[in-house]
Amino acid sequence: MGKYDLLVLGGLLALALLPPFLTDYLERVVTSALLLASLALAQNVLLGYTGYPAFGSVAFFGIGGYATAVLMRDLSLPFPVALFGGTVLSGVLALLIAPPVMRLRSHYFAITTLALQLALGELVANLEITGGAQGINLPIYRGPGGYLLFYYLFWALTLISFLINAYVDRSTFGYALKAIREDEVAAETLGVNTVLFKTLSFTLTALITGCAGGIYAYWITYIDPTSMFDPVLSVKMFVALLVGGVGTVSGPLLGAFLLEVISETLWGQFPKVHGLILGLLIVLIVLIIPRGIWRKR
Amino acid sequence: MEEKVSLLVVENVSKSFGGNRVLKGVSFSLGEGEIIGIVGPNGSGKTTLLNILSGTVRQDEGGVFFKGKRVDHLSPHRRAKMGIGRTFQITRLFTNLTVLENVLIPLHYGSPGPSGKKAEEILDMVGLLRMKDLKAGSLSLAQRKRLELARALSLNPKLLLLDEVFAGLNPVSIREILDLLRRIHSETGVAMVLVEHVLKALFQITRRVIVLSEGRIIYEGKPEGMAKNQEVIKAYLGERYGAFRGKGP
Amino acid sequence: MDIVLQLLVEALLLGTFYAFMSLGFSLTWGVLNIINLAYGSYIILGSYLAYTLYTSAGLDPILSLPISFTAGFLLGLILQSFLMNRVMTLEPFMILILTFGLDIFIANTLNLLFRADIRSIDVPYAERSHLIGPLIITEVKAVVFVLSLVLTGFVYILLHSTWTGRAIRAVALDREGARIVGVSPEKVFLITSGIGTGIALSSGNLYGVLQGFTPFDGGMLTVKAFLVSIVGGLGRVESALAGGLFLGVLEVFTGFYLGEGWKFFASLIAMFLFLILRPRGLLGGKYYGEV
Repeated sequence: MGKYDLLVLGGLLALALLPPFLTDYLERVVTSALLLASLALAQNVLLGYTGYPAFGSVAFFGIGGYATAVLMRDLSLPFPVALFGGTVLSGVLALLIAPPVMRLRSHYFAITTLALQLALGELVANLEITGGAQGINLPIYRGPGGYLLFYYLFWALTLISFLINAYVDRSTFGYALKAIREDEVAAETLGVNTVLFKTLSFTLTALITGCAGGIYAYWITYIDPTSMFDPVLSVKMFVALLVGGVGTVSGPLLGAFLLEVISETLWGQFPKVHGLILGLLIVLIVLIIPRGIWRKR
Repeated sequence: MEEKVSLLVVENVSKSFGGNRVLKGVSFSLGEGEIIGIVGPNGSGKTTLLNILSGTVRQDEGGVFFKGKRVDHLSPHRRAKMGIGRTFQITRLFTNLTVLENVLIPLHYGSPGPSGKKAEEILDMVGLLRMKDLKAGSLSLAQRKRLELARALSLNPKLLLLDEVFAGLNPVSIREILDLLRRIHSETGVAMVLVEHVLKALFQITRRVIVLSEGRIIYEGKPEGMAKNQEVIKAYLGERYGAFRGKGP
Repeated sequence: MDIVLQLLVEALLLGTFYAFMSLGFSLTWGVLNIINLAYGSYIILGSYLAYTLYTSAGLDPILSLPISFTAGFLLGLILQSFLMNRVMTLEPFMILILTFGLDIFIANTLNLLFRADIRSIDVPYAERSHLIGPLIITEVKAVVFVLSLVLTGFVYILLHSTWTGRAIRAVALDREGARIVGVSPEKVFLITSGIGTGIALSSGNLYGVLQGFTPFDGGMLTVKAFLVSIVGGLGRVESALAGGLFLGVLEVFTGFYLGEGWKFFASLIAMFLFLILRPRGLLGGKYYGEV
């Protein structure tokens, strides 16, 4: 880990000490930022290091959330077990679809995953077990700490994702991913089993994203297809990556926090035109960021 | 008759793309440590043949045997691990990674045995040790070709497939690459298949050449024989006019 | 058996509309190599335009088709010259993000102006049905069908019998080659963008009489346009018709046998499968760009 990244890690660790000094509102903002950060960090493994932009990775967010919710509601499983189930389910789905889907090139891959995400949203809206369009109400957490629990859950997930990124950045495993990103054909002829590593990368991203979804579901206690399979969340994730720096360790984290702060300010100051400004912002950011997703340190 | 098991056996390989028959019944073999050149006019299927040998493309008919085993169903990375290395016509380096990292990847994933020190040895052999921390994208063309060679060498290969390694280089660089190839050959005994257009350079490193034309082998033998062979002459001269005769769709 | 016939006719009527609706998307993709995720919102924009003209000036959406087309054409020109031409050099994925942002912008602007209630353009013939043999045909669906067919025909004639059309096809096949023979790709991009957006807005008129719409329906329509393009194959007008018919059949039969709620799901699964198994579609030609 470079010096810069260590500094950022320090900042991240310091966030654990922050809650006593935060109002409820600020606590919620930081929690949201940590959620976005964990998503962006997860995405960074697949996009930043392996070079595959999964526009539809929120599919796993939704699966994690819905699986957790259904397990808690129908099987009365405690949250940790349900969360584990949701995470595992995301991982399994990723393992299954990665080989066929990752044969596609960049933007076709992006669109195919988006189609999957939207399809899952539709599926969930039509099935009884997932509550249809009405969604699912999860049991409310009344344990110690209240909302603080979720602050720390997302904090832990972000920390784990950050460390995973740091590992990928310097390890031999990471080199395989980078080789795939740089030139998949060449990588294959140099001994890299591209199908295996693409699948691993995709699954890793899905696991983190699914876990985030599960925690999120419990946090907001009510989930429905629109909120759990929201394409706007996909875009926010990528914009956070763009702003912070794709393919770097600290970039996704910083970008997520920056974007969340901007988002909150917009939402607070201009509630009516929030969506409008977000759209405009996205267009401007894409135009301004040079070389888009391949910018590296 | 003593049958020596050849290192590489290509048996009746054919390949079509769409309706286009690019390779038709190509067969040849190569022994350990041998060097062979594959030449022919543009569009004769040379690169496709190389792609089939490295596994990047699957053939439609026929077989490829390496070290006595059938390999044509194996993916490129498995063939790499078996000892088949290749370079590309237009270099495919990991441009955002350093020179050293470019070599470390095949060392770790493609070759048996430990890496580390070996990387620097290989870079030293191709003359890129000083630049090991530079981004691969910042190298000159000749340096890129050498890096591609270094990467392929990292596999500790028994067979090197070189796709127009001399293309685009000035005479000085060509001579340097030739010397490098000779050194590699004498130090490692690796067999080589060179697809080439720069015949002068090619003929300084091999005494055996195959001429492909429209997907078929029309000549196999010594370089000198090429100029006397009617079919070869027709293939090359005819090709100059053939481009305007509405060949293809 | 009668039911199947009825459904097939419905599919034909709806499918032809989808074919026309998707032409703009397919053109932009094939000629400019831009997959425009905001395309559906262009359509909705057209619907709201037609709605406004109808409710405030009593102008029938059929009659305001030229207005919508012109507005769309101008919008396309403006967007291409100030926004998209910068975008074309970016990686395709970045174009997706940008056009998605554009989509969010347009949808939210419409939401601000019109709020999220469902609107529809209630023309007098929207409810009238006719009995033709064993079939019940709603007048509005028939009108939309005929118009879609005619307008698609116009586009076909444009592409095949005019200089502009030939220029467009040339640029789609080979940009630099077209330039060498004197065609300016930049001008073609402008015109194509104009035509494509014009088609989008005018199909909005038709969409608005067919059913109710909200500011946020754009995404779904983009997916449909995408599906039509990918199933039919990026190619000729015939490809769009094939794709449109496919979507029509898929929607109508799924809606009837499985329920309305499953229609979009079926479309998405179809899109997913086509992308994985057969990205060149049913008729995919090498006409425009490549898939």
